[in-house]
Amino acid sequence: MRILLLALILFCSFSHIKAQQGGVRGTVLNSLNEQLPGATLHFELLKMRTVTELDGRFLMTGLPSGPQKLVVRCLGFADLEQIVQVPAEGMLDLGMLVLQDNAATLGGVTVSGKLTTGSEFKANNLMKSSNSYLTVISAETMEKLPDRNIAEIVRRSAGVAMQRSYGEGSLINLRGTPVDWTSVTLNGDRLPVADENDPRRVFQFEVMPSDLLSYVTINRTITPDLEGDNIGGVVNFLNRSSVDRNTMKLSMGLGYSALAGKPIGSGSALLGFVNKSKTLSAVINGSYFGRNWAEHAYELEYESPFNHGISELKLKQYDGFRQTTGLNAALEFKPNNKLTLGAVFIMGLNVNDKYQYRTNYNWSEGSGSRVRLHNLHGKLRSRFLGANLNMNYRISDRLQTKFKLASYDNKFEYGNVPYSQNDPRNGYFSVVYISPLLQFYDRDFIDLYGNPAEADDPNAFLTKLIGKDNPYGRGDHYRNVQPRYGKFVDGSPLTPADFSFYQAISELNTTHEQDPIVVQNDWTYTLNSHLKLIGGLKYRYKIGGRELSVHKWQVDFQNFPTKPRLLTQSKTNYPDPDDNFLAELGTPYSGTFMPFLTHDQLNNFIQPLGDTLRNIPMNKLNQEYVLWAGSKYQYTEHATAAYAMTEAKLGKHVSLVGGVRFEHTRLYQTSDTLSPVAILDTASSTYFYPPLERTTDQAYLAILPSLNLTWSPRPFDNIRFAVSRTFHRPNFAETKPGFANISYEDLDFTFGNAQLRPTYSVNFDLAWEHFWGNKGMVSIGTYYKYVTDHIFLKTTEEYDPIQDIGFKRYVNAETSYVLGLEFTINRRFETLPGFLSGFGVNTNLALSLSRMQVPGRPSEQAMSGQTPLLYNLGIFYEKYGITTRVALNYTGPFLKELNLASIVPIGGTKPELVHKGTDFDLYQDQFYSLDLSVGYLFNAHFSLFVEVSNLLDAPSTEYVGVRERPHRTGYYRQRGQLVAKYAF
Amino acid sequence: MIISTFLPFLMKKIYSTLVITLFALAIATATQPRKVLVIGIDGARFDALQTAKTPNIDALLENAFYTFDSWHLDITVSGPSWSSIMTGVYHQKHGVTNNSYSGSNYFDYPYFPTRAKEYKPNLYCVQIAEWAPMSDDVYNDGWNLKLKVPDGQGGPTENAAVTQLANPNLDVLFVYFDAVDLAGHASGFNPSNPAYISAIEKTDGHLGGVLNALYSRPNYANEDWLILITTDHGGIGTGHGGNSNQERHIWWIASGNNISPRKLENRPDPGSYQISGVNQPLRRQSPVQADIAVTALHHLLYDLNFKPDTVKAWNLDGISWLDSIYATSPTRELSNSIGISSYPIPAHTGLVFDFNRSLEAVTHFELLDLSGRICRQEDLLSGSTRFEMSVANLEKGMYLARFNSEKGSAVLKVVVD
Ligand SMILES: [Zn+2]
Repeated sequence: MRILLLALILFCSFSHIKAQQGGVRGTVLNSLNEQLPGATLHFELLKMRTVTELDGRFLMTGLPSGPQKLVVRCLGFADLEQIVQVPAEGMLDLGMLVLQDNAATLGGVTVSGKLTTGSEFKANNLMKSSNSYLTVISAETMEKLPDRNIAEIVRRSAGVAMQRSYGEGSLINLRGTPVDWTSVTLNGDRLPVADENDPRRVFQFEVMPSDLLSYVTINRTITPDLEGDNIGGVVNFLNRSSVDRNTMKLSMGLGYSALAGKPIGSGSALLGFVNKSKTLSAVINGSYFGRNWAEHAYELEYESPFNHGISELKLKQYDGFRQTTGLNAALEFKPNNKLTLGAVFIMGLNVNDKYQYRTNYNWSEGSGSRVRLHNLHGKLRSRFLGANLNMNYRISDRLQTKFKLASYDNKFEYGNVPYSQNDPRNGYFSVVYISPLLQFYDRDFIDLYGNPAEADDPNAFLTKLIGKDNPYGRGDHYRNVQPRYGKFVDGSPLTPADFSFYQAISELNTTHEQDPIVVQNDWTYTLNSHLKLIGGLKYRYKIGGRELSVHKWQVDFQNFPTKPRLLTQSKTNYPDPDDNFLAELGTPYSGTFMPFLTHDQLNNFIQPLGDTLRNIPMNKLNQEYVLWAGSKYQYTEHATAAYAMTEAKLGKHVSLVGGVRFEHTRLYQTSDTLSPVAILDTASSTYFYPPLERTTDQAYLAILPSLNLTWSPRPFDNIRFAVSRTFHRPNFAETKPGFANISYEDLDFTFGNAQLRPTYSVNFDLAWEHFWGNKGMVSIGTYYKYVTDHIFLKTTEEYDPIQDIGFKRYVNAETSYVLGLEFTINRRFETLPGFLSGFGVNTNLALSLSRMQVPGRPSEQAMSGQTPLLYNLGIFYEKYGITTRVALNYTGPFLKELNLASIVPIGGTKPELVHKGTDFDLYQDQFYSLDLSVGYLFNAHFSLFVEVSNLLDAPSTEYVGVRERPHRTGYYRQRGQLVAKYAF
Repeated sequence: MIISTFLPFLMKKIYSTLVITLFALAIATATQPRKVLVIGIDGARFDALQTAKTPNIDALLENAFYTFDSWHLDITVSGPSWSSIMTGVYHQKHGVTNNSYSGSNYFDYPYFPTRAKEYKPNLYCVQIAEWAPMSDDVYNDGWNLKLKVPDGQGGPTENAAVTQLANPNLDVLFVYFDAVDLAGHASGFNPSNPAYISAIEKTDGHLGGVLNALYSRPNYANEDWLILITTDHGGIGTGHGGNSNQERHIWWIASGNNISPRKLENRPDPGSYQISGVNQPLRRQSPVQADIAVTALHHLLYDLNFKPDTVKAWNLDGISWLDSIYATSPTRELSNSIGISSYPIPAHTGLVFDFNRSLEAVTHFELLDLSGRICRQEDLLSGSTRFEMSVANLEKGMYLARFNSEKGSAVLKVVVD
């Protein structure tokens, strides 16, 4: 704070000394009156230059008075040269400087072609003229891609890895770092997050439709004005805030999902209004994307943390309807050249209405070897709201201030299933049927660690073993795991009449995070054309919480002793009538399926049974509450930041941005622990551990200096060097007080740790960019991140007194590092003759190497979430009004979860890791997709696109240790859509 | 129908007063109120129980009739198994085949406290269970109080039991521990799995706390507590429910101040209703799950002079071992020098006497009918381990088999049918 004030005082005193020189300002536009950001303005003789802002505006001061030659340069446009009379004092307004497309000089490029290529140049131009190393994706680029989902768009850039959920992009991480090291911001504000499954500070992209945005930037290097809570980088969204002419755009799409066999529909509309004096602009745009989707998946559960015996095979047939609705409304008022006032509202809603028919083969479980039929239905609702009021005021030609007040709210909840009204029991609902006992014929004897064992060996496991895990060489192939069984009583096969109702379960989840107040004030003082001083303050107030629970229903046998309720008493249908399940693997489970409840029957299952069902809530009186007490927490976080930086142009070729940012964090967290002494609730005759509230209060200050240096030896070459210190705030689940998150199956008792320090990284970047005028660009970059206090799960000396399972606590681990190489080439082959000149490539590649030390393991290993190889190979053709694009995207395998099962060995005194190697770790297998889009622009108003995604139908696979030991494998098949767009 | 009483004798000369003495002792002990403590340890394999360090169970065994060779006769799943243990019948009758408890028929086949209350409605019976379905899904179970305690924790279970045992009016207490089963499912029912062994050891600690509370009852010296401990199933890998020996081979303990210490070993597997049926004579050579309820019931109703397994209306599958394990004199030392059991019960053609240890001296054998008449006699050689005789010529009815040597004596009740 004090530094900032000092800086401001400094700026003001400078302004008095230099007041004699004159300046110019104006706006750079293209022939369609669209603002051109990133255009450069050179007073070549003076060796002075500047770059236009996102709205095309520029301002230069400190120019010697008299006639000066100005060159305005922008990729894809002809240079504009002009002699300017710089006044001896004050500002000369140059008004609108309109650049002409130099497309005309290329010949054969249609008007509409120019429109689209121009937008890409705009993005390239922004990259070229930026002070830091970033990738810019413009709305026009997004419109050309088949994706509605921003993650799918962002992942096409170099060094971006994407994780999916339900076959669509959900999480992004930059440069092979853990997902929570990448920050996702909207207009510079890191967004609050609320997800069904993921408690980390990671933004789930599904909720934000791409149609609402005007730009996405991927910032690989950091400047002090950006929020410092990132190590991988920042993905920033800019929503549409204004239009410069009255606009109406419509787009409609109709499509088809091959696996769901059902339609897809989308639509978006943009209405923009601007008054004659261009002082008031309003824009409202909305989008809707509804898609039927389906997934076929098989999942193997491994029974013990000691060996690879299989306890369960789950055959999952999903179908669902996913709807993403977005709304953006913005108002901008520019009463004069000095003041801009804006208001923005943005909303995203993602509702996934999903059904699942799940057949569970249980080789071993508490209720014996059986088949269970799970009928599941849930409405997963994620809602994001954001609003801001902003003001941009040019106090003088040198001094400018920006003020922004914003508020965000993100929430996940389950919709109204199984009850139609709001009901606390609504959740991810399932009705479970169970078979009589079975005998499995496909099990083998192994010892605790998977070696062959005799049947009479007391330590033998009798278990299903596949592939190489079967020491007798008779394991099933991992893509064709077949349960072989008969009914226990007589060996006969199961029939639908054998299944009876077991229980109904509703998984409950309420997760919310709000940033009710985000307030920001930035100051820019332009000392002269070479030097800008910038400083600012930011404060963010965040509240959030997460509560997981479960509600069960069982038949109330005390009051309604009844015969088992058979599956055949309900309305059912067969789940795979077309014999299509896992057709990619040759339909290995053809003809094996039992009938499942019809959707209608499933939704009307609970109510008619009324009082014959017993409600079993999960509360402190529930005997299993010990498993849930730790999964509920609330938090309040105050983040206060101040920064000061300078933008300097050193001579003709070098520019520099450097400064320091301070981020102070104060965090209060509340969660329950359980009193060690159980007390009696006499009303329910229940002994329970009374929950005790635990609160923590933490504070820390991060000091984050950074420096970006750009050397442009030639007009179209940049060599960039950056060094910065950034940090990562621990996730709330990692610092929460209270009871452990318990998983007996994984030998896991995980406690939060309020003493956790944030992770810091010192980042080095070196990159070369070359821009081929309007033909594209190429870049090669390397980076190195030296990471301290990486957050890790560590086994402690304490353990569960019952089973000797080691307690785990998040701790700050030793140093780790990531070293990477990125390569990007975007190139149109316009020099090729005739027809061929429409071709181009859009390709990038990222290689990385990371090392971290897992406490308790003998050697270093790759960091989790980090893939060593990523690439996107895109070829496009744009000519004669045709826009065609084929892209292959590849993400290499990476470590997803470490198996840190730990236990006190027999005769030992403290817990040790069960596995020192990686054979029990969970990996995400490589993923690739081939997407195609073909568009035709009929005229300046109307275009049609055909988009087909996931042509290769590659599976999304998780495996344990090696690929031949799959955990979950899912297929989504191809999806296609025909989109019509109309712009008025 | 049943059963053998093993009764070591001090006054070996008073043969003629034998029968009278038996009845006199029965009357003497009848003045002590008979009470039952059942302790259930879910999913504890017989071999893992022996591997684990369990000082409290070991101490109990010094005073116990027990075996590590009990066999599961039915579905090796908790719901059905605990139902058999507490009702004295198998799933064909109690109807429970899985953990949803659907199909249960506790109205026709209730828990043993309900049966006991048909004769002694004022019995005060309490269940303390960690596993919710035992409280929520079972009915007609006769409990005056069903206490729920946190699952798998042990501590609150122990504390609740301590509180209940302080109640002088308590007659039946069932205490159930779940941690061992949870450990088995999580990482293996397996003597080499440290988590599993640890869970057994920790459960033993809580069991010790329960027993201490029992022994601390102010009126303990004047009460006759029968302590029954068992498990519902073993396990293999991380599951159970099947018919492997690891799942079916279990254990059974009856202890108390008036129980003759004895360990049954190498008992044959009588088979299972889940395989090809149960061999009834073999099944009577070692106690099984359903015998818990019936033996407990017999103990509670002992003064009424009938055995629960003879009550036609109850249609029990289990048998009572009480007569064969109940000692009324302080001569337990002798039983360590001669341990004898007989089978089958009842005997049809032949009768076998098994000696736990080979005879250390020439032993005189006599078979007397209830009027005291000697029907058969023989001298058995030192070193004998077994004695067989035909009962083909004997009348149906009850007899006393008496063994007498300079090392000690024994009397068994045998039944010829
Ligand atoms: Zn069990």
